[in-house]
Amino acid sequence: MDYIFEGLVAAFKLIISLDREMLVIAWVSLKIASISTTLATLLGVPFGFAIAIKDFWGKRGVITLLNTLMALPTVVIGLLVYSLVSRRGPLGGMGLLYTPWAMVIGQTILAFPIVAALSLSATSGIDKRVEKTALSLGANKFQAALFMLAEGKFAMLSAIIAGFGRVFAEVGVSMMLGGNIRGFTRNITTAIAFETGKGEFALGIALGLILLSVAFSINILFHQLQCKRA
Amino acid sequence: MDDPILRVRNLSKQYDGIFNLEIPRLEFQSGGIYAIIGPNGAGKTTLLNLLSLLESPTSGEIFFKGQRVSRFNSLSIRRKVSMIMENPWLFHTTVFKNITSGLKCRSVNKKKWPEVVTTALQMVSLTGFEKRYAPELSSGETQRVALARALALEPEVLFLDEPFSNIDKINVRLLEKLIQRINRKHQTTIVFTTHDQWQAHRLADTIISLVGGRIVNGSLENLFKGMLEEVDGSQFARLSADVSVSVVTDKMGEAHVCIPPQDIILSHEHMESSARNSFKGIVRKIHMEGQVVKLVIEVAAGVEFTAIITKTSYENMNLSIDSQTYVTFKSTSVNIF
Repeated sequence: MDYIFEGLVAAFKLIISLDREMLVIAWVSLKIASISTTLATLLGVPFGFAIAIKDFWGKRGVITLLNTLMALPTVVIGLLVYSLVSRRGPLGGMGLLYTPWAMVIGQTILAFPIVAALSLSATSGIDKRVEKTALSLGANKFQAALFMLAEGKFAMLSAIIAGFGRVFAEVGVSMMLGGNIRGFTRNITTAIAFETGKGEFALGIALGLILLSVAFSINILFHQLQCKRA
Repeated sequence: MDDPILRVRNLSKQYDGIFNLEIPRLEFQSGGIYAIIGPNGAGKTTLLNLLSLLESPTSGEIFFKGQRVSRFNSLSIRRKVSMIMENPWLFHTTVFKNITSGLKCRSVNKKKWPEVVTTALQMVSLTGFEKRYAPELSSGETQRVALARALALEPEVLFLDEPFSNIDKINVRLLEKLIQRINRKHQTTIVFTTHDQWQAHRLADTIISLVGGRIVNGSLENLFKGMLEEVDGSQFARLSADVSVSVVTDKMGEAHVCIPPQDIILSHEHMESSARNSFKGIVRKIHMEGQVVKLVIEVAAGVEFTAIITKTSYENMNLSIDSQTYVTFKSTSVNIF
């Protein structure tokens, strides 16, 4: 049991001393997750919004598919993107494998259904009077959509935060597509797996604590936004 | 008479083939106040949505100042009118931002916004409300902010859907005066829907009665849904299990039956006359309005007739609540549609 206690003490020392390697790893995680979430937001929010406000044949099927994709295993996404960006794949010539960009692609695919499905749900929850009010005030279709997004902003933010939380904590995509290269693609989750495998608990625990802190902060923010929405 | 500001021709709207609004012809003159009255489900809101270009008709045409509304000009025409819903929605922000939302859509210079907002709030007697958070306002204040938001756009036609339904009596009077003031000051054409016949008469120059998606002639007081039947060669409309009224019609089956209140004669004794409908009833409500008095007389369970008589007749007859009286009207007075 001593090694756990010693690991914890060493982890706190690393955090307090702002260990450089630990900060680089945290920065890689934050950077890649932020870019992925931004891309997923740019694609997912308009997609979810459009699905919610448009009536078309197969709408229920699209919604069911989105909800199913929310539970897509990260290793499946890793495998899919790997087959595309590996040397033998159709995008192999771009040299993306084991780069942060491959991780960004994988994480964007991971976050997209979450952001889209939750945006869809958020849009469906917006009062029907919002669009009618906007139109009656002389808004065109695009302006009316902006009014609706503004009214549903807290729910939309919740969708984005949920997407960020998912990609920040995933390991499968990062490991398979990033390759856990030190100072380049090594992020918190891959580093924890790697350090634990080596028996280096201190850095693993320190990174775990950072991961937990971020996840905890995200959940508090998420909860507060949900309360505001209500 | 000037060209109408708004005109519709052969307008129809269908929802899944169930509800059907059909207006062959309707005109609104500039600067007028119009009340659209009718029972629930008559199509009042649908008509307002069509006129304010928030919905497209299934068929037919709408003309604004002689210009036919098409998908190419509907936005620019929609920006000349404004509609306030029955339960107006205020955006989750300040009153100031709510009022400027329409100005923003029109790209009105931001420097003009404070002055426009101040003037609009002054008109609805809510001066100083700029920084208030809109969702925290009372229903009366919400209604007035919605009105200020519409007025800030200086619409040529203002549509109000049941504007008095969710506010207390004090705010109703306030809003009525406000509507008249807006109409007089800016010559804004006002079209509103209401259930209240008296209010319609009090405020509007023209009353449009709507039943089952169609415009009908006359007042909608004493409106019943009845079953038309023929008994011994005479036509009757069965209003309830106990009450049938003699009517003149070729129609059969279910229909709306309407008896104009001013065509009803009240008497203490049964009248021997050519009128074929006479019922004994009890006065249940009395409402005075200027020189006329409106009385609600119950003739059977669930069947009440409203009669309008002069104040002098009312005083001469010495009627009061629970007085017994006879209600008489001619078969030809009964409108069937």
